[in-house]
Amino acid sequence: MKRIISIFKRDVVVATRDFVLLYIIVAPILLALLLSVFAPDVADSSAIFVYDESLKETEINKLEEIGHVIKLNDKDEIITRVNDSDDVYGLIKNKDNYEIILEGNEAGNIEGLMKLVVSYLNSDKDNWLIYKISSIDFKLPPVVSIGTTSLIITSIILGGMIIGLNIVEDKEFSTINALNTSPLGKIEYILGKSVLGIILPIIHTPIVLKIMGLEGLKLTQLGFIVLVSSLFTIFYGLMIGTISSNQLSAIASAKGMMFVLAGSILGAIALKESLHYLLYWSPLYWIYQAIYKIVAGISTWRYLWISSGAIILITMILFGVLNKYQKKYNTL
Amino acid sequence: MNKFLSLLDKEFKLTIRNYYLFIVLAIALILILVIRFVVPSEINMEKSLYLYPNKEAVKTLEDTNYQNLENKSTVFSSKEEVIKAMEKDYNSLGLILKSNNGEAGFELITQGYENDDIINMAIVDIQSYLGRIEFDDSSQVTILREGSSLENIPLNLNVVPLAIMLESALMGLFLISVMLILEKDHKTIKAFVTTPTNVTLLLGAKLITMLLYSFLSAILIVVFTVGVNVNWVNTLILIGLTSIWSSCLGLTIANLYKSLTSAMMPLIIVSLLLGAPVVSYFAPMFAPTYLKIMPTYSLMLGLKEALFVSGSNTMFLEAAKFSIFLVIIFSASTIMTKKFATGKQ
Repeated sequence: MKRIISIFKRDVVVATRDFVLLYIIVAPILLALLLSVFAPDVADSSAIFVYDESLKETEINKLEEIGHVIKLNDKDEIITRVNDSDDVYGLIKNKDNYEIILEGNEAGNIEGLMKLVVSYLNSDKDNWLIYKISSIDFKLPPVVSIGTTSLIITSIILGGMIIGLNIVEDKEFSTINALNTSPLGKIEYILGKSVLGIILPIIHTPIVLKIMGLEGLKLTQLGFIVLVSSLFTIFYGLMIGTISSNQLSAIASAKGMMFVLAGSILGAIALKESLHYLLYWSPLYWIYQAIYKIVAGISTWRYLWISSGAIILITMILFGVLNKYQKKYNTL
Repeated sequence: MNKFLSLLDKEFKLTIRNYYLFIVLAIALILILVIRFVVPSEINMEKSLYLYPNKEAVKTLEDTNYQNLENKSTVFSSKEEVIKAMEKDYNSLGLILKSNNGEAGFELITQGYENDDIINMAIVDIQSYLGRIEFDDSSQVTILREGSSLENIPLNLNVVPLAIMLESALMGLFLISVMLILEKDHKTIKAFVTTPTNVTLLLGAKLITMLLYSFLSAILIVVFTVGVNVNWVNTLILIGLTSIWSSCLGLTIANLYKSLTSAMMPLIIVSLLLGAPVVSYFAPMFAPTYLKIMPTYSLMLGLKEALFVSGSNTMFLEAAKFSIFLVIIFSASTIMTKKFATGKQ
């Protein structure tokens, strides 16, 4: 234990040089601050209509009910604005007929949408069917739940990268060779190197939640899954440290692995649940799903046990493969 | 010129010795495989609609477009089932058709996070399907840029501009910093300073090396995904300019730090900031000013135009102007900070 702590202490001392430790702690917090500014704007986004004086007040009021409106002076200004890089939709009236002005490269069937908008402007609400609006009270916009989950996972992966780069630095400067002559065992060395990478997500997670304004979450569950995820953090760092002989190849292998990992998270977000079995091989998929469910307030201990089991099982298999690689090529 | 060419040769050999060419090819191959075989060509990002139709209400809707609405929905046999399904799918709405004294009515169940505009638009859509808004097809439609429609571009090809922006064009940001810091660590730069060649030429050789790798990566990804019928001139100009300014930015950051781990965080933060406009790529109505001023915003739209829209240069010109400006700015910053590369503070 003392030897593990002394490796950790050494890493902390090295990390405090050049403000590295400060950067490592601050980076995800800074990102959380940026997301907390960014997220409400995304959640509030809706269609943007630009119009001129040809529309009546009643028509403008109706447009304001379904999107944001911008009044411009004339058709030329509307054309200039529609031609801008974002998607805004122009609407003016020529005598009794509406003219829809579109750039032509908008995503989706915007022409159909705008014709529906025009139909709405012409409709009489007194003829509408009686309706009621209710909700299931899930007030967390996806950009907040997915964004917060991604930030926590970024911290987990960052921890792994720090472990990996530290190991590679030791390899480059032959520190590992020197350590091999000491009583320090390989497992002790790896654990000592891993402490900093494991502590980071534990420090970051409550701060990120606080910045994102997410209170009332099941912190015990979150703490549990972040701790289980530390096994993956250690694997990721060890993988980078084992297969890379220098810092350039460490960056490259971290990058290559990132595509695979990011793919499993994007798949979890974009694919229907019936297709999620395609992602079961990825520990990061299970980490993402578990953290997402906790952040979204829909987690259960049953799911957490299943996902923890999957994370541990898959990561141990990956450790086994890495161990065989290391023994064969003696890279550590 | 000879000195520069020999430096360029040295840089190439260094990158090949460090397996960098292999890494560029491997990552390009991974991206090609992911784009062609993993990312679906179509994905329905519209909200799912879960429907519980009351039979009496449905009878009163026979002369409306109700059947089309039902075909687009997933039908359940109770409100509770609708709610249960909605709880598993955050991108869904629930619609409960009811009968009020022989006339249909409905309850729209939202998740809770939607803003009023989205909810009201959904109500308009439903009222239209249920025959209470008559569809008006008489409006004149003016398309400002004919032939620029991207509706038929499959989703997997739609991500190619992002792939070549984030991987090919911006690869210099990280890798050139790593290469420079490694040389600082190994004191190669200090030894180099004693030679007749100047550090500016060395940094220039690194830039050109990154530029050529950017081209290689981009050409491979585009050829094996979109094909060869793209505007190559615009594409390569944008990638070249971006490679130069991002490499200069990477060099500036690397010049200021002594070790890779200390440079890593600023590099990661800069990468994430440059990647932020990707949100607007998938949600074009969300384009606040703080995203539009990012150079990668106009770059990704310029690349999209170069790859998929023929006869249009608008976004390319905007992106190119911005990139030229950044090349000037970051070249200057690289030259100003180069003394740090040699250890002179």
